[in-house]
Amino acid sequence: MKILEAQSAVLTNYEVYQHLIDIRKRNNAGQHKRRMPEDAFRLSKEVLEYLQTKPYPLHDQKEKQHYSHATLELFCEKLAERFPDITKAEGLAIFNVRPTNIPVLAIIVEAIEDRYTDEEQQQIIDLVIEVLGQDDPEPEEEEEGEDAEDGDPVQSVETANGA
Amino acid sequence: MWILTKIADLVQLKPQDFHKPSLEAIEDKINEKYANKVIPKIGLCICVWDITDASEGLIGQYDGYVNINVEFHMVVFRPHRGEVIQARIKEQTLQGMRLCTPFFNDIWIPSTELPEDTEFVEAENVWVWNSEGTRLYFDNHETVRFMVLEEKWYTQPPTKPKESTDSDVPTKITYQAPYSIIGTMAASGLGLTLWWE
Repeated sequence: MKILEAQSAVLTNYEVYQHLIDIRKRNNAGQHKRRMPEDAFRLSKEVLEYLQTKPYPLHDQKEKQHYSHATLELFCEKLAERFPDITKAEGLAIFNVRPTNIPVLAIIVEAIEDRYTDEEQQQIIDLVIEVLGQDDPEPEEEEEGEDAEDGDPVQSVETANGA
Repeated sequence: MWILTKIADLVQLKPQDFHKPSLEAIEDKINEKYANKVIPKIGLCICVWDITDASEGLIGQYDGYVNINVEFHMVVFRPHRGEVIQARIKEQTLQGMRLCTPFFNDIWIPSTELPEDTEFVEAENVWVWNSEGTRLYFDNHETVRFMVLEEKWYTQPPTKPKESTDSDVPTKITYQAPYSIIGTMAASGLGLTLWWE
């Protein structure tokens, strides 16, 4: 074994997900159904399970198809056009995590308070929702309960950031 | 979280594998050897991404194996420092918290990297974050977000042969993960994902 290039590229969660799904489809198609070797099969199953764990946005990919190579391209294009200072790693993380609120965006984008105004932060969120979609809101009664519970940490974030 | 690593290796196909299309046979061999293995300083190998080059097969004189030099890309799990990813809480102790994902179990959050004002409730073995008067529990099996701080690599030395048969003292086998991740949850936005929805 010889490592030719330790890191030739970085992949998004979506690309890994799609690659594993494609392998499965290919293996199940045609007359000769086949399987990957045992370890690889089990591992790919576990990786798929992981990538489809909520709140990763791929959890409803099967039904919603929010993600595709086209959305990846569109997202990169729009992000580069409107927020050229977002680094590649940050853009990748935004694509993977799909933050739909500011506290989650703030842990991905370094020193967000210094780089973007509140308005611009919201614009990034809007762009994410526009291109990558968002989760359906939870059923009414559950949401109220959750909101009350969630109130505190969100507030603490605001005060922490303001300080 | 995922990278592609380009690797060159010699693949040996047994005559029993000759019924498979060559590309599939090669891919299977590579996956057999690499999947779920950690390469030091590279990461945890998942599966083949693509095969970029393969030599002509040379048949060995004695065994009939076909030897092929192959170059391929491997999908590797290797979250970079500063990356925010999610996992589940597996167990908690006074020293910190162990997290796991379905395929990777060696994630450790030391107690010093939990949010400020977090205390360990020994009776229940859970960490509790006192966030402005609200007690937020780190329950086991909950999904959390954490940030990767550092990574640790460990190469298992070959085990010694038994020196004497006289003593019945069982040799202690200590397992150390070949690749483990140290993370932090000490920042707003990290911790249980449902706190931030």
